[in-house]
Amino acid sequence: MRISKRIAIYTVLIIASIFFLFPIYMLIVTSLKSLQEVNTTSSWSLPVHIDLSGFVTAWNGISQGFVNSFEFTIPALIFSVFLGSIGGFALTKVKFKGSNTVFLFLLFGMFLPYQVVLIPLVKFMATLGLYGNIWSLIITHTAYGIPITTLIFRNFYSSIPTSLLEAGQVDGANTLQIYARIILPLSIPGIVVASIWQFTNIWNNFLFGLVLGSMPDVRPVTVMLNNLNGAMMAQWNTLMAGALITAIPTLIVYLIAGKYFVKGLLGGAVKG
Amino acid sequence: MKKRVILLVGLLIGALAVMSVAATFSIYDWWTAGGEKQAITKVLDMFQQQYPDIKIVQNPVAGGAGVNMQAVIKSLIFAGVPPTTFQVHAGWEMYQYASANLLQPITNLWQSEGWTKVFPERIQQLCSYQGQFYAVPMDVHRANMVWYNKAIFDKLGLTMPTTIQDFINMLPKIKAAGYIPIALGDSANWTTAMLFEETLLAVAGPQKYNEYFEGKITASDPAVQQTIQYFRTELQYVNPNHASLTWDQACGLLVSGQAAMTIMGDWANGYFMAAGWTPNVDYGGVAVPGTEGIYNLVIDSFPIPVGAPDVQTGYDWLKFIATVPAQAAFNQIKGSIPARIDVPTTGFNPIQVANMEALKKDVLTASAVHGSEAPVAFVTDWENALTVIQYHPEMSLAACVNLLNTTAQQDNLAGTVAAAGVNY
Amino acid sequence: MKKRTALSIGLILPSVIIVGIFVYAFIAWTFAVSLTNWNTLLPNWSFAGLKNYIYLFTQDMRFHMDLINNFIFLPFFVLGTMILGFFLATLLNSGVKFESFFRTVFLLPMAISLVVSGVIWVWIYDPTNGALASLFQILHLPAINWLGSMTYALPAIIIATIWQYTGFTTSIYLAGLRGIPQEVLEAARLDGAHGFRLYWNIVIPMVQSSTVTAFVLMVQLSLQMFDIVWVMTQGGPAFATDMPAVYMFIAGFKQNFVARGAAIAMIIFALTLIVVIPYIFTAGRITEEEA
Repeated sequence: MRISKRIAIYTVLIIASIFFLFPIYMLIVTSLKSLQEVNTTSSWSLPVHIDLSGFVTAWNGISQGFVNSFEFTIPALIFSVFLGSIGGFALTKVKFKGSNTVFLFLLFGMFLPYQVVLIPLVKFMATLGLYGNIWSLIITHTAYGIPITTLIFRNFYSSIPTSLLEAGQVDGANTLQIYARIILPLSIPGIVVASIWQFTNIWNNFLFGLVLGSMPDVRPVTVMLNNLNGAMMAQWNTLMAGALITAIPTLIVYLIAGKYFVKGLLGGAVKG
Repeated sequence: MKKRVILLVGLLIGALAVMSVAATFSIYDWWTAGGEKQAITKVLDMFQQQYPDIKIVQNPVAGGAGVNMQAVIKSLIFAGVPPTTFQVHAGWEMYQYASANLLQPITNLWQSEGWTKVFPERIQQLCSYQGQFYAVPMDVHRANMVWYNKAIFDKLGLTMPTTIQDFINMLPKIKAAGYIPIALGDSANWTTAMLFEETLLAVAGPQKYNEYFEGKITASDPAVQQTIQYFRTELQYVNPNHASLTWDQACGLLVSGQAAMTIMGDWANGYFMAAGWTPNVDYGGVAVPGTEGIYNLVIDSFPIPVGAPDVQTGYDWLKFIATVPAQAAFNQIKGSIPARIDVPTTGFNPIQVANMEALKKDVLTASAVHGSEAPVAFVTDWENALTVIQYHPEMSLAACVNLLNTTAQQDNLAGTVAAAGVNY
Repeated sequence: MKKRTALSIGLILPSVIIVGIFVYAFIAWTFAVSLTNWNTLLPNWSFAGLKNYIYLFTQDMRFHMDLINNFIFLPFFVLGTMILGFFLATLLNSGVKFESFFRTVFLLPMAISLVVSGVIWVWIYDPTNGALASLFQILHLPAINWLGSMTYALPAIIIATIWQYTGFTTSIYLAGLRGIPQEVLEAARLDGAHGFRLYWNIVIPMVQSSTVTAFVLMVQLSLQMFDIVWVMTQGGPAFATDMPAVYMFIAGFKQNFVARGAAIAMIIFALTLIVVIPYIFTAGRITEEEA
């Protein structure tokens, strides 16, 4: 490659990186300022004095939500990934009459505007007696995760040659054993993609948390973050510190597992 | 093994028994930051001290100018699991629940506690619907206030005028001196609507103001037309970055010496005090010119929804917040004033004291912007119509009038108000 | 074989039941509500026919503006994320060093909640202290009040959403590009295809499935855009950034026009289906081919 072209490519990539990183930079510098400095200096300047009061206030306000969010995100992630995996397996490797129709039936749910279901959702949970219970959030996030996880695993398993399974059948293993011994170990990239996707979506979700997280002991961190932003007062340093704390788990997931995400996509996990 | 199981079951039953003994009190409010959060925390602490057996579950929901909390409350009510009590603006915002029979009438409580003697009559009207009481007021805010930077006023040799015309005439002078005449932060559009509302109150007076929001007169009325013109003039004298500021950031423009005035409810008082300003030294706060002698109310109140759990704790709460100590403690911190007229003025700042005196003798009206004066559905569309007028300076006066009238017709303002049969 | 079918159905049944309730039953409920007079706080199940839909399409100025805004937003957002995503993926795929670094950076916005990024972008667009204002000052350009302007508010939101989602389209395209066998590219180069022609004739057709996936997801997102608008402008100034999903929330939960809100939700859903149904049937066909 010619040097000039190479320089051009890097220049563009660096400019793009600045575009993508800049808002995150703003998030960090503002969170480290005192309230007074936030109001008097320009928003992108570095803090003159590092002030952690924003973090203290924010943490006091959202720590409970931080714990709550883990309490429903992890189970909902596991359930939806598990259901997606066995569903994807059934749809590709143990095909039955009408399995395509079933897949379309599930896939449809991916395109649902969530606002459509708010009221029936609350009614349903109240009928089950789960309203205000952490299980209402676990079940809801599992339910709305099923379409995407099923899609991911169905596409992923399509790329696993059926001959592998036939070899298993010759060895006398039954279907469930094939799933456990052959498919599951091969599923790691699919599991990673589905988990990253689900973790981010569930953790960042606001709307369901707003209507289902009615009690402090189940209320998600995003809703508590929103409460830092008072109805009539804005304390930007606290808000930004809270935003940063809220984003840390998902940022870590992306920083550590981001490359597996693209690898998983390469493995055909999300294609047409 | 068996013993263990029995022990576990025993523990579980014990735990359930303990849980059922402690009555829970779940409360929803949108006071989540600053002085308002401190105020509710303080009052809940006092309530807890008085009723140590009650388990208090506070559910603050901020954002979307109260809409987020309304979404939650309405979801809870639809789902049949209402809380013990929730914050609601007295007046139409409360009427929407009362008219749907979703609130418990508490007329007996009002009478047995003697509240009809200590709360002003207009406030009683706003807390009741078709002859029954449904809510208890916690505080009173005044919407029709103008706040000004004293240093700028002194420097320019200005005094706050007493008529709206003089107020309008003063704006170019302030601008010529290099200051922002009116600080506005309308990233949420209710602040723009307040500008219109308080101007209307000044131009039309309390009688016509009520008639307008009852749908008895339309925007074609000369007073409303005059208001539209003043409103558009005022908008020419606001800070250019108004749309990206919140109301408190707009108040910050006064503190930083860039702006001379802002029209805002008396929650601004709390902001200025928090910013280290001394009332009547650094800043002044008086009725919007032309509304002297009128008190435009914004009232935070608490009702008990039908089907609320542990209703008794709800009644205890209502009785508690109506007491002199609770009203004093809450409002001293929050910057508003007590809804009771017999609370001693000690501990309140001079602007609050002036308002406490005014509440006793002024003509009381209610703010439409804050959901007290007119149906909520109409107010939402009306506020939006005002922003359309704000952003289309090329619109003719007739077109503005037409837009406001269409809005009132589409939402059937006159019909809704007449059908509700509420007092003005 | 029968046993296998039973097992297969057993594996998929939990998902089918859950989705059946949470998606289909709930949509049916909402659709039923949209046909009633429930425009009060209390449920009113009296049948109204298409009244709510007719009102929205013939009389409701706000809804008309919402549709216009949404149809302006959609092409810019969809093309923006797709073209930028394809472009960046191509650069990343050209054998650059630090590829994983750049890729991670591009993906970071995906990790951030829309509620958070909305707040950050409000700051960037702040006309006095904001970063963009400072930049314009340095460049001696006139100050613009981005979110307060009828002209610029919608583009400002489009840029913020492109920031949020381009990392995702980049990843999808990167996966697609990596899937092209090197031999195909070599063969094309030997045939004299270079630069633009190589891309137009070979590369772009070969990443078609990435394009379809990205397109469907981005169209869906733009039709349902809510959180970021809610945080940044709440639809203002004067409806300049109002979207059907925002109006739906206000109508249903603030104004108590529950049936009208349900009707808006069904319209959003119907619009989504226009792109989703062809996609879903393509997805179904692929399965059949593989079977």
